[in-house]
Formats: sequence, structure tokens, C-alpha cells
Amino acid sequence: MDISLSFHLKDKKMPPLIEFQHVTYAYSKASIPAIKDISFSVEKGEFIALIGPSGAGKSTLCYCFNGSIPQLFGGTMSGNLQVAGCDPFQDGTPVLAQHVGLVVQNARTQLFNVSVIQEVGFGCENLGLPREEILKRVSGALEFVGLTGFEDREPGALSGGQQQRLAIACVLAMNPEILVLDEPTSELDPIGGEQVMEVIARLNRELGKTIILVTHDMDFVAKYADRVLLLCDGSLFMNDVPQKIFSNFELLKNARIRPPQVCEIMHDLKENGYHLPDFPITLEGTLQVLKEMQYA
Amino acid sequence: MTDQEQPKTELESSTPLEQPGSTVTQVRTYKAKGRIAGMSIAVLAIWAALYIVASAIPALPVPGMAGMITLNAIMTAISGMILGPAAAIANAAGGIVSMILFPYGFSAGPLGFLTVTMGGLVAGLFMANKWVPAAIAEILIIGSWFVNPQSWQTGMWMVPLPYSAIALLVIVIKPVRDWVRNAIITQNKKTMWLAVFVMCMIGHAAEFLTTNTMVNWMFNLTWQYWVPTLPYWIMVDTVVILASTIVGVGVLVGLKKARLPLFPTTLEK
Amino acid sequence: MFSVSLKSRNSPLQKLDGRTKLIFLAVIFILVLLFTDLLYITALLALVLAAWFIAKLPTQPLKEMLQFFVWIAVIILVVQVFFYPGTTNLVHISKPVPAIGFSGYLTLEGILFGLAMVLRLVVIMIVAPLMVMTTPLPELMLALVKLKIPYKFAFIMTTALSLLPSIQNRSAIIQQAQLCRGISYDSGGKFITKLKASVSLLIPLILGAFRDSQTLEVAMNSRAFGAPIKRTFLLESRFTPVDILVIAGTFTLLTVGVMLRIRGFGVY
Repeated sequence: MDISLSFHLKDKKMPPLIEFQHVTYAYSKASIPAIKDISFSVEKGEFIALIGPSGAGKSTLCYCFNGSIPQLFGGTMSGNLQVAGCDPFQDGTPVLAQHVGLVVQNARTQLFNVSVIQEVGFGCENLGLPREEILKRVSGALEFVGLTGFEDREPGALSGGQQQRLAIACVLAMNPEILVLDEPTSELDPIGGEQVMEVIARLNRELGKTIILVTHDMDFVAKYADRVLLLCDGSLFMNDVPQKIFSNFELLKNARIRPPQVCEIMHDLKENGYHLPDFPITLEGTLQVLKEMQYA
Repeated sequence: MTDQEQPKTELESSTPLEQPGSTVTQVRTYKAKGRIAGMSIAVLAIWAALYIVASAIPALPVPGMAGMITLNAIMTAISGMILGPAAAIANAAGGIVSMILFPYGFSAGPLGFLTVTMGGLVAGLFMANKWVPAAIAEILIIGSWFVNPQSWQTGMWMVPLPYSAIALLVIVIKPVRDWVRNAIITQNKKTMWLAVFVMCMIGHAAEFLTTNTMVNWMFNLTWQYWVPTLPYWIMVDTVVILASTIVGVGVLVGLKKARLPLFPTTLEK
Repeated sequence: MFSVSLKSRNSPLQKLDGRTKLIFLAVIFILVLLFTDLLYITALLALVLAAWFIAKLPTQPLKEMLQFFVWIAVIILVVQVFFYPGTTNLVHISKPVPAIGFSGYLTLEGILFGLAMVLRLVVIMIVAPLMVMTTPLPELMLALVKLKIPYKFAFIMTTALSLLPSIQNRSAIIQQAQLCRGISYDSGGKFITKLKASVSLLIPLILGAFRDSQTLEVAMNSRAFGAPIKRTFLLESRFTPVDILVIAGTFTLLTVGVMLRIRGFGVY
């Protein structure tokens, strides 16, 4: 199985936006590598979902995109890596921060300023942008995530969902072409999580950002992702369109991943001898199939 | 203000850099960067925040000095051991903010943060095996006590004896120094407690003698105050050091178990 | 004790630049240590108190703060009153006790000097809160940076401040969990119980906070922290004519003070 095969074939001449070639990385003082021989590439504007059981190395892989690994964590690394024309081995995290916005898992600890406006402006301030430009970008980013009017609020006093959207606004203000989000909804209530996911989908559709999303929300993956990377025990298990991944129940079981509910229903129907014209992975698709089968 | 260093990753091994796209893969070892004296700024900021919280928790009401001894005394005593020389920076930052928010922990007013800075600095330098600057700092602290003419009064020479003079001896005498550092670095179960006690003593002694010196300069407290209260202060300091030892051992062991960031020397070997 | 939001919004002091206030703080601190004469220190105290009232700050924190320093104030006063080598004898107490350096009299100089030291303590203790309660901390940090304090240091301070609620939160949770296991933190307990409570609070608190530090580090760096260019600041910091006036006044005060001190005024 050639997992480094690029899925999108639209423009083969342009180098891909992100390219991993046989990347292996071990944290310093660790004997086993956290990620092993990872190869894949991502084109501009793609929506990539990164899934896998806990401890699979998803967060580690996220840290590779903006050079946090190896620059901040140290350790040993091999392979080749290219992100938006930068080399995360060489270019410092401030350089990469202009191309890759990383939103980490815990919303609370990634907010460290005393007001929302300061929080969102922090990145641009570090980049030395003129003040007027920063204000423009801050209000733009806050508007996009739906937090206009919260400028003077304390980040710690916001709800979990608002904090996570704020974290997105913070990296968005720096105008990166790639956004990497590490389980942004894992600690949120359903409504807060939905709002965050909606913002993420809009980032991809409206602004054309390349999204790399780590999530356990398979329904969302089925609905929005162009491609799914399945990570297990530090290795890349599969790199394919959501439909291929979610219809491969054997693989999902091995990787300890629960597919979207509709897939489970479809799978059960198939197991019980029903002939399905298609294998839908979203609710809309399922309704369509059921209609064709004259059940709905 | 601006960072002078170029954002280049330090390569520990001098392997030739490969061209992107080439198929040759070489294993490269990276050293974490963007740090102050080996500690990440994030850790220092978190320490400073802990420090402020600890300043708000009164531990010992101490009649006779500034309002009270708060848990920040413990934080100061163990800071050098955990953060290395960077503890001075973290303590100073935490000290300034907590002095502003909770001034009752600081009897020296706006310069109160200097005391906790010295505590972190001496112990941190010691931990980083930089014993010469550590000794110089300790000598400066003891020396500044004697610069004030009042310290030439009857019995005032006794004040720095416990524990600053002992701390200076530990720093200067090589076998003792090495023994303390090794016991902490290897986390030897038997000897660690005593070694951590000595470390906390170094940190705490630097803090309180600086405080005493500053208070003495500011408020002209004479030997009639210091000498009779000395046994009391020794007792208070001993309690603080003992409490710090328990916390210090707990934190050291916990950090190692959780593979959390520690001052590099405590992880080596 | 003081919440960060506790500041009066529209006072003239609020409008001053952070740097101006820092300079004022430093000069007052130097001057109050320069003089030992009650008159001079009273004048400085009057100046600070005047600023406190111009800033329309509440007097409650002032009282609270002074309560914490009653003990040390009493000790300072007693030590000076009894042992200051004065010459104008006022009240006869006992025979001279040379062993403890007591002359047998309360002297005028001793009392004046003791009062001066107590007022010095008061000035030192209230001058910093005065500035802080009229300046939001981000502005204060900006002022420090503009006064050439390294940005990274100011960053550590502001970040520590904004991490405070979450750490306080965590500390409350730990204390509750300990309460369930019978470790009480209330003032009623014995000394050793309190010590035990402190220890069992600090260890999980420190370890928990360290666990967050890696996330924080990644978050900081993914927002270009430490970029090797001159940083801009969203907050503006500009000297107004009033600032320049106040700074000029402050420096004049400092010069006059130093001159007076050199000429031998203001000390016993």
C-alpha cells in the first residue's frame, strides 16, 4: 500500500503544501519513537482529518507541522519534512507561525493574556506588525469566530466553546494558510463543540484554509473531511477518502476507532444481506440511499 | 527587547544538512531551544503564577516581622533546585506581582522581590554546578549584612550564622557540594532527604538574610531587637526549611515520575 | 487582597503614563530612605496620601494593609524609643541598664526617630499599591518594557497574572479533595496540621501546573513568540504634557532631596 500517494491529482507540477517523507521522531529520553516512518502530502485547501486512538501520536504529529517538534521539545528526528515552503527542522517557530496556526487541545492553557483583544493581537505584536494593521486583523478574526464585542473580556471568564473559538481567532489573526487543530472539542459541551466545528468548516470553505483536524467526532469527519489519515501506534495506517476508511470495518476495529453511527447501520444492513447501492457515511447520504431502497 | 539569536536550530551532531527532497535520511538530534538558562519561558511563567498563588496563602503567622510567612517561602526555598539559575527570574517576576497584589508577605516594600530573587539565584547556581558565582552571591549577601554599621553591634555577627554561613561552607567545600548535588540528581532514596534539606537551606538562607539586611537598612533595627529574637528566628527558619524539604522531595520525585520538565542537570546522569 | 480590577477609572492618576508612575514610585522610595527626620518623612507621606486621594482610591485597602503591619510598626517604635541614643531626656523610666544599651530615659530624639521609622514603613507599603491600583497591569508591563526591562521578563509577569485564576481554581479543587480526606486548611487546626495541609497542597499544585507548561510553550510559540524582530504593542504608551510635568516635578523633588541630604538636612 503506497500511503504517500497524493490523493488530489489536480496539479501535479506544484509541490504539495505539506510533505512528510519517512518522518520518524522520538522525544528526548524516550526509547520508542512517538511517530514512525510517516509519509504523506497535503494540497492547498484540503480538509484533512487525523484520527486514531489515544496515544497514537496524533498530538506529536500536530507539533511537527509548526516546528514545535523538534525545536521546542528536542529529541531525535529523521526523514524529510516541508511545510508551506519552510523546513521545520531549520526555520524557527516564529517563521512557521506565519504559515501554520496551531490550536492545542487544552483551551485554558493556551490563553495567557489578560484580555481578549490582547490575546488575539499577541501573535501579530510578536511579528512586529503596525498597530492599525493588528487592530484590523483582530477585529476581523473575532468577527469570523463570532466573538465581536468580547474585546475587553477576560479570556478565562469565557465559556469553553468561546475559549476554543478565541484560540482559533488568535492564530487566524496571523493569517496562516494552514490551520492545525488538536482535538478542539474534546472538553466541550455539545453545543459549544458544534459552534467550534462550524467555525472550522467555514475556515475551509469560506477562507480556503488548509485544515488539519484531530478529532474523535467521526460524524463531523464524514461530513467535511476531504481525506482521513488514520494513525495507530505512531504509524500511518491509512490515508484515504472518508468513505473508504469508514467502510473498512476490519481496519477500524483494529485501530480501535468507532465509525459514524450511520456507517454502523449501513454495515449491519449489509451484513444482514441487504443490497446497498452505495455506502453512505453522512446522514444526508444515508437518507438518499434509503430513499433509493424505498425505505424512506 | 528583541531576541538577538537567530532562529536556527542547534545541531548537536555536525552531520551535513540534507537537501529537502533527497531520499537520504539521517537521524539528527535536536536540543530544545528558546530557553533561559535551560528552562522554557512557559515553565518560568507557570512558576511565577504558582508563586503568586502561594503568596496569598498564609502559612505561619509570624509576630515580629512583616505580616506573615506565606507558602512562597517554601516556593523560594525549592525553586533553585527545580528550575536552576532561571529560578531567580521566575521568582523575581512572581515576587513583583505578588508584592503588588498581596503586600503583607513582603517587609522590604517595593524591593521585596530582591529577596526571593537571591534565594532562587544562589540555590539555582549551586544546582547548575556553578559554585563560583553561587559563592560570590552568597558572600555578597553576607557581606551586605556587615556593611551596615549596626551589624558591628553586640552579637549582630550571629544573625548570618544560621544558615547563611553554613550555606556558604556547603557551596565552597567540594566533597559536600558534590555529595548534595549527586544525591538530588540520582534521587537516592536514603540520602536524598538530607541533600534536599541542604538545598532548601541554601535557598531559604539567601532569602532571609537578604530580607534581614534590607529591613535593617530601612528601619534601623538594633541588636536589642535581633539578638533576643534570634532563637525564635532560627526556629521559624528551621520549620520553613523542613516544610520545604518535604515539598521539595515530593515535587522532585513527582516530576521525574511524570517525565516533566526539570532543570536539565537533575535529569542527567 | 487587591483584585486587579480594583482601580478608579477616571482619575487624573489613571491617565498618567505607566512610566511616569514608575518613576514617581522609585523617587519616593529613594527619598523616603534618604531622610530620617520625621518632618521630611511626614511630608513625603502627605504627598503619597494626596496622590491616593487625587486618584479617588478607596481607603479600605489602606486600612487593611496597615493592619498587617501593626506588629512590625510597634516593634520598630519600641526599639527606637528605648534604644535610640538620644540626648534630650523626657521621661525617667528606671536606672540605666548598660547591658542592653538602655539609658533609663525615654528621649525626644528616640520618639521622633521611632515615629519617623514607622511612617517610613507606611510610605514604603502604600506607594506601590497606589501605583498599581491606578494602572492596569498590562500598561504597567508595557511601561516596564519601555523602561528597557527585557520583554521576556515582562511577559513572564503578565502571563503569570493571567494564569492566576486557573491555578487558584486548581488549588481550590485540591483543597476540597483534601477536605474530603480529612485534611483541613482552616485556621483552627494545630500548627503541624496546617503544615501538613500546606505540603499536601503544594505538591499536586506544582506538579499539575508543570504538566500544563508544555501546552503553554507550544501555544506561545505558535503565535510567533520570540520572533527576532522588534515587537509592536497594541497598547499605546505616550507621554502627555501632564506626564512631562509630573516627571519634571518628580526629578526636581529628587534633586532638591539629594541636595538637602548632602548639605546635612533631614537626618539626625
